[in-house]
Amino acid sequence: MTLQVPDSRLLGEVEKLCSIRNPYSYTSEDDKLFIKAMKQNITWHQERCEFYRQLLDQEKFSIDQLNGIEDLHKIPHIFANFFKRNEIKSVSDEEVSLHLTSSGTTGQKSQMFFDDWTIGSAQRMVEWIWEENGWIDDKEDVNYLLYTYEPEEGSKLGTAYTDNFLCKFAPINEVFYALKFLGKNKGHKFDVFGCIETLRRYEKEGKPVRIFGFPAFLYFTINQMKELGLDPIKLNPESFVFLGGGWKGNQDKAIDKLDFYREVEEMLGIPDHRLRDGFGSVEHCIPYIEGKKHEFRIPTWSRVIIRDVKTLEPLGDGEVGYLNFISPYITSVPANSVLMGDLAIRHSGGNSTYEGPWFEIVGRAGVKKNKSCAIAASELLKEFDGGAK
Amino acid sequence: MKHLWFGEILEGVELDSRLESIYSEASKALEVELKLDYLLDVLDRFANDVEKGCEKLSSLLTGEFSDEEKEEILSEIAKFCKKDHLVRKIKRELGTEDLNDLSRVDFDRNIFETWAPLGVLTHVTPGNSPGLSFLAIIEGLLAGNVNILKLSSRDSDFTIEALKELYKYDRNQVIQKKVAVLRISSKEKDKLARLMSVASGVSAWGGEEAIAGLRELALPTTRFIPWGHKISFGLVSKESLNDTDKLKELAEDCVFMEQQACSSPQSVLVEVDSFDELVKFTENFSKLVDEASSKVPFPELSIQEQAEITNTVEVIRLESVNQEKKVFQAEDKSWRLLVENTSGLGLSPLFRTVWIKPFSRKNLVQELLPLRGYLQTCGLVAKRDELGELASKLTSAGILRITPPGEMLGSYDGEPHDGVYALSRFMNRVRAEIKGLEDVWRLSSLSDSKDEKPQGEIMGKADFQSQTPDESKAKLFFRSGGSSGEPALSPFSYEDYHTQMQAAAEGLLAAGLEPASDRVMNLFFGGGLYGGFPSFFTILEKLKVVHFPMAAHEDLGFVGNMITKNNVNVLMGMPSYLVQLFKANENLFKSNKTVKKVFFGGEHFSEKQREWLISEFGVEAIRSASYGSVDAGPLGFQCLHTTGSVHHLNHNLHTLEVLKLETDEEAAPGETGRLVFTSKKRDSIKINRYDVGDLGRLIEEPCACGRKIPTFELLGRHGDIFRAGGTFFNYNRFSKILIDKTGFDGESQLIISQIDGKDRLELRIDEKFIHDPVNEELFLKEYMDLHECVIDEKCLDFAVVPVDGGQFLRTPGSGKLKRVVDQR
Repeated sequence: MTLQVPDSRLLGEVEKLCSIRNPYSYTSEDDKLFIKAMKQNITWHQERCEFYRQLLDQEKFSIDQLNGIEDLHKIPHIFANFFKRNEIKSVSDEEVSLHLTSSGTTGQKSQMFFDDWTIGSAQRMVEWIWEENGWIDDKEDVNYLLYTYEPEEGSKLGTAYTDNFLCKFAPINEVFYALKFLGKNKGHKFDVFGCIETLRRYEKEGKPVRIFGFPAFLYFTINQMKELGLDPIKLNPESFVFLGGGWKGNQDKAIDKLDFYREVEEMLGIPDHRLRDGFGSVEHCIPYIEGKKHEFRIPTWSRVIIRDVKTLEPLGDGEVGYLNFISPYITSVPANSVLMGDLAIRHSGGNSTYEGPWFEIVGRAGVKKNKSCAIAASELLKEFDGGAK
Repeated sequence: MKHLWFGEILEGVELDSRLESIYSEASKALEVELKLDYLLDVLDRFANDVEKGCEKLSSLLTGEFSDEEKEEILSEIAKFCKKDHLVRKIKRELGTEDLNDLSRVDFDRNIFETWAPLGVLTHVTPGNSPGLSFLAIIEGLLAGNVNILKLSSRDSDFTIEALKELYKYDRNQVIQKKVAVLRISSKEKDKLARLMSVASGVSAWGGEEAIAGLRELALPTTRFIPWGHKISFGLVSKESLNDTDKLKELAEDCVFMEQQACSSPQSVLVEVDSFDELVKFTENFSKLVDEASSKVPFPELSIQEQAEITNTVEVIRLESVNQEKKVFQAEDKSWRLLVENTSGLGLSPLFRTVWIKPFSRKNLVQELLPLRGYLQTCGLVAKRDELGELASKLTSAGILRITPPGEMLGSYDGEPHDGVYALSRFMNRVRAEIKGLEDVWRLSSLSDSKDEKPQGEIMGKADFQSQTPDESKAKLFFRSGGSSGEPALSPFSYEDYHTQMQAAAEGLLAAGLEPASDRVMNLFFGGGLYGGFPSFFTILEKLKVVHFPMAAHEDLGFVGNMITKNNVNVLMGMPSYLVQLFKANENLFKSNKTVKKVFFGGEHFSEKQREWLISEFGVEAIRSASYGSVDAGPLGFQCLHTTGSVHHLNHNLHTLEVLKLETDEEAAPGETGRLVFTSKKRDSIKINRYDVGDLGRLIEEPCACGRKIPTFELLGRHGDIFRAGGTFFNYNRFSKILIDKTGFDGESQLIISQIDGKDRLELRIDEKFIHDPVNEELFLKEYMDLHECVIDEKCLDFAVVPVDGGQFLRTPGSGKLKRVVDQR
């Protein structure tokens, strides 16, 4: 199946940008191409999405204001939260090939719609980054431990989709799901003892092991092993951990990432450089994958702006603010400039192993628990049927 | 890491072993007796000192508290712990201050009820609220519980140190044995579960998640008392859309304290018909919010707090593109109003962020349903004729507080907390059916319970009268004798008055009044500020007995007629009036013997007169209606088994001491001394070790009625006792012999003199009132001590001298008779 934009006449530059195979190539040509692709993308949505057209009107934005990469911040941004409350599309229902809901921890589930190009393009980006890192290996069978939801029929949860997709990069010997599906009524349950048992078995088998999914559940597994006083497991050193999806309602248990990696290395015997985290979301699917020093690398198909939490003005490198992802890859939904609910710092310079731009996540942009005694949106355990519909 | 373990300080790990034996530790603590009177006294002393400033506690409030906040926390604590406040709180929340004392609920049935402690009460309070944690324990103590407070490891030592300060006042070391403060993290589920295993109640503060976690750990039998987070809002009626004055107040609520209180408005619901109207309202309201906001400096927000605001605002701004929404926001982003044309409440990121949403009067209950469990305060802006309808809609919708705009954060003393009275949640309501105690009001009178010895100087009449009553409380005044001879007034609060009348009513019940069947005529003297008639009116009202409020009416014939016509079987009044009444209606009452019981007060009722009523008119019982004084209220009552002037103490009102005549030492058991009372319940004025001027002795022998409260015999007035010929005599004995044995009803006086070194005692009596002959023989026969001294020891000469009334020696001011005159 060839991957192509919905309309190559209108989106030729978009297709060109997203076809750059080297994820971390940065040239001034790329910047120019990026601007051209953004203009095409903006026009595309403007003509197909009533909401987006009105938004540009309200913000008095036209693509003429976009003359160089330094003008990117002028493009109206949309909060990721907005997509959680509103169904917005730039394509017809027939063109929607995938409809994902984010596994949101609180509040409504996010609704995102993908056409073939959008999802295919994003997956190709993942593949190219894995290729760049040398993680694609079809020679040897591997054992999988997925800290993700065991698929149920008709599941629309995005993470399950992604993690299964990652299994194609190395041949499957066995797959074990940590979040067992217990049936329609009971939902999913985390099987920590099953995970430990499986890891023990994988250790004996000696094949490389690939562990994907939510970090919180891997953390619980390691913790349980320690609590039980179990000896460390020595997995094949070619094993690989690739996490993503955040701490999923276990934010209060989140620990420092580097401490966590140290524990995984100690308890499972997988070397630090083969422990990687990925940052992405349903609202913005470009993969931001950690480099060797656990920096989230920004690939050439996207740009990142950090914005002040009060004024929303762009901030310089090294400053903390909203994480604003900008990319023209998406044709199904006008999510070309998405403001994430995370606080981050951008770095343009490289570190010793990497020359390109990267960012680090500082925390959630928002309050988990109010200090006051007033009820806060973030603390309602059960969704309520009120307010905006 | 320090823990406070029932009076001990534990370091860190020591706690683990104690938790192992939590059952025995808890049962020990449950056994400790902590009386409410004592607790209130200790707290009051503590509060008075904290109010004066407590450096130590203030210094413990470190970190995030400003000096102003520190002062406020301490002043809140002091205010809360004052006895006055606590008594009011207890009465308000529980309807009585007599806790853990099974008492009758009415006179018809043998039903007793009371408030009793839950047992072990575990408190989990939110972090960073040092005052709250301390006060939570105090509330738990008031309810009589053993209290275990879970502090988080992040909490400061404030609560522990404040308790240690309080323990300095705990002279009997009992409060500390009822309190443990433990530092346990919410993650230490095992330890928490251990704590919960002995808890009869869990008082849990905090957010949803914290409360849900605790609820999971509590036993199914444990009473779970959540104090969760709440939501509040303003509500503006159609008629008030332009009521700028009130909206200005509401705008101030929106700014005050950065909306951090649960009673701060997060939304303003507006009665409009269209989005345009809503926007128009918001335009006007935004000016008022801007004005209010400009008066208060905007605080430094954390990046998360700021982001929370921006998250909310930006999504609404995006939605406003094609939905009926709009954001109004200050240029400097110091405040923002989020207009949304959908009903229901919005959850605000706070810091001057308010949702403006429509409501419909018709559907208000339904519109508030989604957050019903969280509803707390509504600042209501409406016109007079709308208030009734809206308030009733709001209460049906589940609102817990309705306030005027501008006062959403206010509170008043004794208000219910989030829909309930806390103390009632911390206690059980116990019911009992007990037969055979028809004359007993409260079961505590049947059990042996010693009061703590009162402290302080002895108060005399002058000390009492020199007090300045609390003006806000003293509302009722009765005439009392003045020490200088001038008439004086004794002040009462209505609380005091009713507490006292209740006690007197209980006394009458003990004395044989049967409310279910008796028909009573109140013949006490009223008017001229005298307390007799109105007091007994209240007493009889409390007893819910058939009552004819006649007062000491002059038309004795009319009174007699009314008595027989209405089958009155109980008379209450002064003996002198009652005797006159019987004399005036002698024939009527002899032929129509309806009166069976007589309860008297104010004077001595002579045995001779009693005999007359019983033998001639068929009266079956004559007892004291109450022993008391205007100043101190009811002090004692009689039961079916007490005779003469023997009384039981009104124990739930007073503590009684009998002190020696010449020193303030306690009199020996049975020895005659001064009766000194300390009131446990008196708020407008203080009665502490008040020497009422009466003499008496404690009776050690148990009373046949089974009451184990103090019993005493009244033996006349102070000053009536004197020493002559080496022996103590009591004027009262002479007077009693005169009245009882001869029917003498005039004045009498004792003159002590010395002739040739020998004491001489002369009893002068008003010759006009002599009925039966009065001579020395009579007294020598009736008064043993006198016989010994005069006849056996020959140390004293004794004579009875009838005189003209004008010859009595009187006090210069009031002209009152001097009963004993010492001329030696």
